[in-house]
Amino acid sequence: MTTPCTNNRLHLFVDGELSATEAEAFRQHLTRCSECESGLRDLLQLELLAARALGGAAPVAESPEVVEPVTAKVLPLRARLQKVYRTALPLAMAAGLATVFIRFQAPPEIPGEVWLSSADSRTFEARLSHPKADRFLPYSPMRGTSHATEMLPLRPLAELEERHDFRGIAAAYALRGDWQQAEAFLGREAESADKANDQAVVALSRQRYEEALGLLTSALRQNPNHAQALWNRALVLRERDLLDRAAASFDTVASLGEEGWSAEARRMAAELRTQLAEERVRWRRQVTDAWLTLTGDAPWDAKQLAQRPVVARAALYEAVRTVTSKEGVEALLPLAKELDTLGGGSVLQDYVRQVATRDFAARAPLAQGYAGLLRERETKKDATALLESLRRSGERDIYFGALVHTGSAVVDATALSALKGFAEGTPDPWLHLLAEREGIRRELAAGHTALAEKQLMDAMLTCNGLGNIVPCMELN
Amino acid sequence: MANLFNRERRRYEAFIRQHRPSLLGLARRLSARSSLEAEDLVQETFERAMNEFEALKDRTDAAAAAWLCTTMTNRFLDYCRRQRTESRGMPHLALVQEGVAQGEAQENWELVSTEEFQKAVERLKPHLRDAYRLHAEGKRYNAIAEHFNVPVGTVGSWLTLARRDLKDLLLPQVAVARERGATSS
Ligand SMILES: [Zn+2]
Repeated sequence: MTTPCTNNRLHLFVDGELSATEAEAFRQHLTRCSECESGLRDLLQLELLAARALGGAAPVAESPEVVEPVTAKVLPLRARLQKVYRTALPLAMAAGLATVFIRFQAPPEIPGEVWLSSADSRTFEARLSHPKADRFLPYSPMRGTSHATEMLPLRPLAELEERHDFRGIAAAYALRGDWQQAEAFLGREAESADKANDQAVVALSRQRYEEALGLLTSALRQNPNHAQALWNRALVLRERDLLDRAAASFDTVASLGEEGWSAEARRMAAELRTQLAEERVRWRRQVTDAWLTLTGDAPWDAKQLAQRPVVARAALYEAVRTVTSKEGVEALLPLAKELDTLGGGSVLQDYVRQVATRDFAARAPLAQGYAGLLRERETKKDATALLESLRRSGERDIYFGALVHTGSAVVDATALSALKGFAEGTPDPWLHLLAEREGIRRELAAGHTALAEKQLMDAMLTCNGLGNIVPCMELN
Repeated sequence: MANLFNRERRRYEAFIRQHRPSLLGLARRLSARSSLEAEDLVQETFERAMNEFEALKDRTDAAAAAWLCTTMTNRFLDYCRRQRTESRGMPHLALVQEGVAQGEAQENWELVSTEEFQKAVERLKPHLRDAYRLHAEGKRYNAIAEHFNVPVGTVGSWLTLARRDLKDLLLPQVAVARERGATSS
């Protein structure tokens, strides 16, 4: 006879290898056995890691349908709908739309309901190119899902197919949340800026942001004033947290003077700029507070600071650049270690140790000058003088900080190459991204918008891949 | 303010999108052959995450995942306790409350990155590694048994061994990292 604690019982339970009765007995046992409970906690953490690291599906006793990962509250309805469409519509498609079609004497009018003409709000934020599907309506994501319950009338669809208006069919499906069908029909549409735009809307709905940006860039190359593509580009950039670029794209939409959309675009741009400004203020304040803690006299706890790894990392760089003694730098080592534990490797510890070997008789005045820059006490003239002495000194990390802080590299090519040179000499991924950002700002200033936005998206993707240990928002 | 609310909501939605699939996979395994709905378990977990989101959003991905896992495990254990007491007509035991930092299992696992995990899997003995990979891909015991031409019971013990070895490989690293952080502060 096996007792519940032995014979891999816990593993069999978690792997769904027990019978219903055995599983029930084991669940009862779990509530009384602290050993199995803590075993379960560890095992589930391990299995979640496996799912995140190896990306596979977990074994399940039954085989439930796959559900799209969307917000929990919206999900049940959508899941149900998708099921309806998966069964009902492909059947109709298999029968062939053309056979459903009955020929009329005159080309029939396509009823507006195909594109939800009686709707009083939009169900998604993106804009489709089809004029009937691009009426301006207030956006209300929560109410909107109810449109999807309306079945698609098949006769007009067949008529559209006859006319080779695949973009119109795709729009009808997209408005009802059936992106799979929308994508399939778009595939049959002839190449155009409109097609690329609508494909981008599909990619956007599936969170394939890089693909969406590529399609939109192609649409805008064909037609630089494509209102829907400009609008959708703003959405893609916003999804990647590039709020500043998103606002700029909304500005362009606003300038086109479309009824309804223009005002909405202006409002969106203003909102994004407010958000960004508020976030920047909040971020600066958090980093400054942490920096003052690190460089102040009161004791601090590295573990506690590392609970906010992004803020702590930014503050650590500033602290290393501004302390004026070897002892001061060495005192920062515990935080560097704690943050390296989260990020992997030893970049921050190596940085701290390397700075500790510097000659502080020469470094201290520069560190103080940099601290003045951070407190914004220096005038523009002082800043220029400081940058010049930093350039001539060997304190390249402070020089790097000052260049980023003053944004000099955007206007000064020598400064940019100094910045890149320093970043390439360190293994710290965040410094690489910062140097890249300054280069991209330069591209933007030169008017190379599409290239710069592509690079920004890539940088943001790299940044997000680091796992929330560096301030990706700063890439704006 | 409306715009801040929107921004936070988008962040929260992105957070759900990132963690939901792996969490749901786990929930389905826990709720198999019971009256518990995996979707409910995950939804309850994310509702708690919403209350804690202010603190969670600044943590690393690994730390957020570990927190969600602990929270979901607690929800599951609550369910088991309720089942037990309901079947005996007793009021159910007090629910466990989550804070953002709690639980020994969570504290250890939140420092393990997915790369470290992948490296640890590489270091397993070949048959344990392959069996574990097949399992992670969603294969049942009998399918893995067929693949290696071994009895089903062997697969069970291989997986148990693989997990023990993974834990042995990963958790000492965490302990060392903590040790280094602690002694120098
Ligand atoms: Zn037990």
